[in-house]
Amino acid sequence: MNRDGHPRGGPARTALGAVSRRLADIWLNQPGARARLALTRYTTGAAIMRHVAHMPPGKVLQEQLAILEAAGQPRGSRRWERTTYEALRVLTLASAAAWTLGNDHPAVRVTANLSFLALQRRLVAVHKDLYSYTSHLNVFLLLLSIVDSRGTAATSSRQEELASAALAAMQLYYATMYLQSGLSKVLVTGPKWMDGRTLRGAMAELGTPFGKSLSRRDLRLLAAASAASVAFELGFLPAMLLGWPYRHLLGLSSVAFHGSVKATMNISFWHLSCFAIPLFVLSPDIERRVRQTARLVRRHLTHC
Amino acid sequence: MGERARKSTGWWLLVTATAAYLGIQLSQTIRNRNAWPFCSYNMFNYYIPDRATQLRVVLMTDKGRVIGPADPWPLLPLEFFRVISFIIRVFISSPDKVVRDRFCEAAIKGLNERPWRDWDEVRASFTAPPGERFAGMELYMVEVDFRMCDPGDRAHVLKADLIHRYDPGGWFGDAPERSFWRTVDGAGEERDES
Repeated sequence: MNRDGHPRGGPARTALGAVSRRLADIWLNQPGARARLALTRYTTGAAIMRHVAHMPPGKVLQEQLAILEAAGQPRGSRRWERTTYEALRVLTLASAAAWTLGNDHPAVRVTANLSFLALQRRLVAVHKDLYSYTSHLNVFLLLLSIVDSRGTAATSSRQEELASAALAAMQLYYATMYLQSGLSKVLVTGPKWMDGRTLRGAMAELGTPFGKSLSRRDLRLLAAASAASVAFELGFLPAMLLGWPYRHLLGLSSVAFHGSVKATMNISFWHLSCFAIPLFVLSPDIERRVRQTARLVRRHLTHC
Repeated sequence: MGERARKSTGWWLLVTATAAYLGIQLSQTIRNRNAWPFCSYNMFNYYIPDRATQLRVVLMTDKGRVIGPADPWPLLPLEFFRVISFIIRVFISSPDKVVRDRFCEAAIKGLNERPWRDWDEVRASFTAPPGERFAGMELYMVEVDFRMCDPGDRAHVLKADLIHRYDPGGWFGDAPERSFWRTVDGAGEERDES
C-alpha cells in the first residue's frame, strides 16, 4: 500500500499510463475525500464569516463612493445602497453560519451563495480598481454547496468520484493561484523582478520592523529571497502534480511561505492560506471530531 | 483515467467547469487585469527601483500637535492598497480642491468618531492624544531612496512635495516649509530640518 492507502500497482508501462494513473489519483480516487471536503467546508464557512464581519462599514464605502464619483469616477449603472450592503452582510453571516454548522437545506445554501456573491459584487462596485482577491471563497462555497460536503460515508462510487473531483478543483485552484502570481511577475517585470530591489522596496514601505530591517541588508540576500519566492510560486503546481503522495509537505511549505511573508511584510493572505491545512495537511480522521463538535455547538444553539 | 469506464455527468461538469474557470483566471494573469469575479493574483508584479515616490500624511490636532509624517493607510478602514488607490483618484487624477477637502473632512471625521483597530491589511486608525481631536491634515508626495533612507523613519526622505493641505481651523498656518522632514541629498548627505 502506498501512503494514501492505495494498492501499490506495478510500474507504469508508459508515460501515458503514469499520467493517467496520477490524474485518476487526483480526480477520482482521493482517499478520505468526503472527510477532507467537510474539513474544507468548516474552513470555508469560518473564513467567509471572518471576512464578512471585517468588511468595511457601509457608511464609509458610501461616503467614499460619492467622493470618488465627484473626483471623476464614472457612475455605476446601479445605485449603491448602504442599507442593501449591510443587509447582505447580515444575511451572509447568518446563512454561512447555518451552513457551516451542517444545515444543508437548499434555501440556506442558495441564500449563502447569492448573498455573499452580491456582497462581493457591491464591494467591487465602489471603485473600478477594486478587484476582489477573495472570490475563491465564493468558488469554494459554491463547490461545497453543490456536492455533499457533510463528511458522511459515501453510499455509491459516484459520490466518491464527485467528492474527489470537488476536492481536486479546490486543490488545483490553490496551486494555480501560486502559478498565476509567479507568472504575473515574470510576464510583467521579467527576470529583473528577482534582482532584490522590488522586495527591498516593498519591505521598506509595507514591512514589519523585522521586514524593514531586512530591507537594509545586502541586495544579494534579497535577490536570493526574491528568486526563492518566484521559484516556490512557479513550482507549487508542478510539484503537486509530480509529487502527489507528498502533497502534505507542500501544504506545510505553503504555511511556512505565508508565515514568512506575514513576518516580513505584514500580509498574511489568511483567507487563502488557511486552506493549505484542510486541503493538503490535516488527516481526514480529524473530521469526525470536528463534526461532533459542530453538532454539539448546533445543539447548544438550538436549546438557547 | 481508465479505472472506471463511465463517469457521471456531475463529475464531467465539475472537471470542465474547473478547467474553464482556471483557464479564464490564467488568461487574466497573462493580460494583467482583474475582471471580477476572476482574479489574476498579480500582487507585487511591478518593479520597484532604488528610488520611488510614496505618500505621507501629516495630521494636526485641535491643540496644535503634529502627528506624522506617516504612511496614509490609517486614514480609512480599508486595505492599505485600496486607500492608496482612492488617494490617487482624489489627489492625483483629479485637480478638484473641493473634492480633496471633502475626502480630508470625511477621513478626519472617521478618525475622530469611528476609530478602528488593525485587521489584516487594514491598518489601525491614527489616534489623537487623549482630550484632542484631529483638525487638519496635509498630504505629501515624497521621494525616497531605499539605499539611503531609513525605512523605519517615515520623515527620512530625499524630498517632500505638498499635494494638499486641509486646514479649516488655520492650525498649520502659512509656513512655506514644514520642519519635520529629515532630508538626504542625492549623495547621501543628511539635512535635518528640525
